[in-house]
Amino acid sequence: MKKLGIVTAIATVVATVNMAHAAGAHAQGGTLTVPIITQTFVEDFNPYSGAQADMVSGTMYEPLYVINTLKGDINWRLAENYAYAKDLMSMTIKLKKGLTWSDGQALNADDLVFSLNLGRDDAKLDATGQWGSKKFTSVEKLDDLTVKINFSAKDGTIDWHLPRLHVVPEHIFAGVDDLSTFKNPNPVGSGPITEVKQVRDNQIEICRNPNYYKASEGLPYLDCIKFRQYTDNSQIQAALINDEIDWGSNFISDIDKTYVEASPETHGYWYPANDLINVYLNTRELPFSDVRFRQAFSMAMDRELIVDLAAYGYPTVETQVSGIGEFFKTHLNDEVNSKYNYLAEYNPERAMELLEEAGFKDVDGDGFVENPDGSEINFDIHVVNGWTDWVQTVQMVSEFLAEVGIKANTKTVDWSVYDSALKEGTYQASINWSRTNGEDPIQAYRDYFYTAQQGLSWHTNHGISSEKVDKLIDEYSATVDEARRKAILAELMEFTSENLPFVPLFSNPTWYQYNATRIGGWPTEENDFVQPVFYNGGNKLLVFEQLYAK
Amino acid sequence: MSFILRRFAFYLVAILIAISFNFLIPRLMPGDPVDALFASAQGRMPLETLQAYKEMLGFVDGPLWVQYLQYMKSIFTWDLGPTIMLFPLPVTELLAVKLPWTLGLAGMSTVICVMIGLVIGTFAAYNRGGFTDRFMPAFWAFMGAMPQPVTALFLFFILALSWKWFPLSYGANPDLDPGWTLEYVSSVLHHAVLPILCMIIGGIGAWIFNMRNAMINVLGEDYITMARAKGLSNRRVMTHYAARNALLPVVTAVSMQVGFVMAGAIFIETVFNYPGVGLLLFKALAARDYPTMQACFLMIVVFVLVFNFIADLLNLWLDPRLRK
Amino acid sequence: MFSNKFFKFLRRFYKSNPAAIIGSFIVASMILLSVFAGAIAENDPTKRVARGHQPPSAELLLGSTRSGKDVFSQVLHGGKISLLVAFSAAAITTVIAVAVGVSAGYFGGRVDEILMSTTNIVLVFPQLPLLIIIAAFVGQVGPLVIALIIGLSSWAWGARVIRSQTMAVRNKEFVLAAEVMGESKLRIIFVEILPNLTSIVVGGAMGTCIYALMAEAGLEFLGLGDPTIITWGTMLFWAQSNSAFIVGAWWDMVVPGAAIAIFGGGLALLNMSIDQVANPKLKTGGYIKTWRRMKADVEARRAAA
Repeated sequence: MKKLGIVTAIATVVATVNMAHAAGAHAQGGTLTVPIITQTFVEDFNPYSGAQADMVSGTMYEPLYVINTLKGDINWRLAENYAYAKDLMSMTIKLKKGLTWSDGQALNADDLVFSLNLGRDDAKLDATGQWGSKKFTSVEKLDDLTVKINFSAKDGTIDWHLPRLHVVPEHIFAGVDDLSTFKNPNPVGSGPITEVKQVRDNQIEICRNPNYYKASEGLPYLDCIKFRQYTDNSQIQAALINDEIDWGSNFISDIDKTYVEASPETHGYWYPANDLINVYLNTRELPFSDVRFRQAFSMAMDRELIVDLAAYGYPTVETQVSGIGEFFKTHLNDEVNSKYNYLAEYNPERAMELLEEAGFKDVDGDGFVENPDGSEINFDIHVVNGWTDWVQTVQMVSEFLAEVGIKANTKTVDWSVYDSALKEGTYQASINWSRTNGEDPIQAYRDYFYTAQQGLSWHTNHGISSEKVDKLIDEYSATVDEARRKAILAELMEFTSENLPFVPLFSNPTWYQYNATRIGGWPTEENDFVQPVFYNGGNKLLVFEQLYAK
Repeated sequence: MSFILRRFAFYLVAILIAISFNFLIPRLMPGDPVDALFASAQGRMPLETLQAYKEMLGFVDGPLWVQYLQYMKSIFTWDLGPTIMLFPLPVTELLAVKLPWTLGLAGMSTVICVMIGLVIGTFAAYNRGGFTDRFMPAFWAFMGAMPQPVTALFLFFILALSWKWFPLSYGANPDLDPGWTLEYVSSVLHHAVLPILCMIIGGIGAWIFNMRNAMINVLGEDYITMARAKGLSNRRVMTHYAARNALLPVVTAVSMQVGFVMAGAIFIETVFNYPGVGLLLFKALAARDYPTMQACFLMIVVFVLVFNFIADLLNLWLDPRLRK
Repeated sequence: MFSNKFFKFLRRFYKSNPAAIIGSFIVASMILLSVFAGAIAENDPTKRVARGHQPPSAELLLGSTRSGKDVFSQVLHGGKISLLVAFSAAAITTVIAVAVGVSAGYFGGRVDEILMSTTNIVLVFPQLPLLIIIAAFVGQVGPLVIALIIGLSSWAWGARVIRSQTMAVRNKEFVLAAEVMGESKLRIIFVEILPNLTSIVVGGAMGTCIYALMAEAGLEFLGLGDPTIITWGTMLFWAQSNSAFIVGAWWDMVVPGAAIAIFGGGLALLNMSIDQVANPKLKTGGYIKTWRRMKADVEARRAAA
């Protein structure tokens, strides 16, 4: 009897041990090599100093949860769930049970409260930005696993910002004088990769967390991540081609010919759409003050050719003008789009007709049209000196404009000039990103039109705004009713399409190249489980979790 | 003795001027370092935290002359402040890491250039009208006029990327621990081959030409004829009489070269991701990183002056006329 | 009479001086090609005429750039500006160097001390970092500004050389004679001294030319120039931004590089030949052959005797 008991006991133990390994679909082991663009590495693992943020966010310090915009769901990490109060004046967050830091100490509400409160007194530590924007009023601990955050006003959008919070160990960070300069050597983290193996100025290697809360699932499969230093994209391109690194997140020229052809079975890439790139027009002055001019501008663009030549065909052509792009394709409104899509089609004849109708004629016979009042049209399109694919884009834009008779110049300027011109609204035309790759499309419209943002954001000072729009945007965050939100979005899209304060060109690609020589499990167009954005800690974590050594 | 003192005083003045120039220029430049930093973050930093960083980086200081005195003080106490692009890493630490690599590159390539130049130049001078004399200076003039970035990229593409004979980046293999081990040192040499090759291709034309001319001038002097008439062996004439006198203008040229070479290495460092000062200066410019830029520029100036001073000392040693 | 002396001088200069012949040919033809770029190259260098990165062919002699523009046309038109920058910078530098060098050498004393101290200080400043910092200071620099900056910072070495030569000439008898005769200082400088400095000045100007060409290309390659203006330097910049070598479009980068190399080399050859004329000891080529032949003759006669 006893013998059987012992045998059973041993068998159970053996089985459990086996299960721990078998629970993971892959064997453990292997190293991922990843490039980082920097001058040199330093021994700094503090997520709040920002010095080497990409090395620590996500993989060393896990977020509460990850909003997977591609799949439209939430991947719970440290948090088990959250809930808004009925009056939307507060929310509670519940942590998972049994979490530990890499040094074995428990990860609980004390750490969360501590991390949240860091931003209250010091703006540099306000990772979510909600103390700075005066949304948070206080944080309370309800019990060992639950935390409550109180708001200053009704708000149903706080959950979008929480993933940016760095949850750090109170027992390490509490004693530090100045957290923004604290180097955090010997880091204690919650993620899969926390133990620093070596620090050299051209390479840092960080390895497996001995007390990872998901270890029972056999995660992570990989043992270590090697971060290698590079100073620009062309070096990374060369390193990818020669199989020195596994995961690239930068622009690579002619990738099919140079990278994929070198080894078609193992070299691959996937460029899902990211944020929308627009040419913003200053509608306060002629000729942009006439909406028909703006419409003509839009119809003069051969977006396909621009994407092909200026950007190697990697971006996604924008086919509608409602203000958001492919990234939020699930939110696109067919009704609105079918009315205005023609504005995004290449139609130079219609553009010229429109110009004539609006009174823009070529009076002096130089081949270019003048304003209805007779004054010359000759404006600059701003672009930052050195951003070559954008410079080429703008050059092509001005070439297309010339073909319909509009005189425009490519003006390459220094970053500071570009930045202040956009924020202060002193530009004539300028190419720029948009806030169309956040957690929710309302953020894009808020960024385009919210009057209080003028002067702070690049995208608000084109001269078009209205009280009605401001109210709609406010209403959106004060409600969680899906139907109402959808209706508001539709109104905003109609407003944008009608007024066209900017000309959308294409969606920036998410730069993502992978090398399957040593590592498998990569997200691809067929296996699209997450947007492969390396620079987003949460997304990076989700990708990393699936990787294993071949 | 007074010669040395006079030269030393001169260099001191030059350094002070460099420091002042160093201080003014970056401050007059357009652009704000924090905004430039934001650009490279591609919108990852929330707007609210940006303001706070601006204050932390100290761009709300007092009037210009206060900053100037402060700068002087920090230079002489060797406190050059933190870098901005790698905040809070101190500039001196960053430079200390980068400097040896550029010095090594500049030094090794200059030495090799001089040696090869000496040999070929002497050979050309001795065999006047021969193939070497007619062909070499001209050929290398063309090679030297090829812009350095193009030669570097060409070598990078063929020898490093396609044939994989040499590594793509770094001063040494990142998997190795720095130290005086055979493994590490040979890795350093292996990584240095292409950069040095580039520098040699670009610079050797001038060396061959100068050496040859210097040699020819010297060989025509009377004391050489005298030495030969005395019956001294060719070797002795070459080393004791010809070479020593030919070296004088060459030594001056070397010192001038080092500064140029250190700065010119920027293109090569960019292409090969070689961890040197030139590349750092350029990247610091892009990031409008004032402390780093100032320190880089100062470092290069100081080294140029030091090498000039060494050249003066060498001149003193080689040319007894100056000792009076 | 002038033309006779001039042609005689040219003939002497070029006779058995292959470096001079090749050098002049290269320089002259490249200048001509650039000046007549509009007539020679049929395509507008700024217009898209083909698909990106097409290799050299019958229609596009030197292929096309990434954005489909004609490389042949660009290298000719770009040459206009690049060469203009190089020549202007050389001109500025030469004027300053001559002014400073001759004044210091001729007037001596206080003037010499002041000018030399300034020169020495400018001399020790490392050129390229200075250029980079100033270029970034001014923001985005067009070719004109680059020419100006290079011109204003490269005169020191030339000034020093000119000064020592001036001092050597100054004490020659014909100068002293002119002074005794009461000729005005200005006349002495321009008529007696300057002509004796010609070879150094011309040599220096050419050296600066080469340096300016490379410096301009270097600055624009780093992205500090105006990328919308076509010069050899910006062609390199665009080629690099489009990873020309890696994607196999070598012509995009090699063509402007070769243009610079060939022109620079041509100038260097000319420079060398001028040196040889000024200092005949440095001659090489045909003369040596003649000399050897004559020497062999003499030896033979001696042996026979």
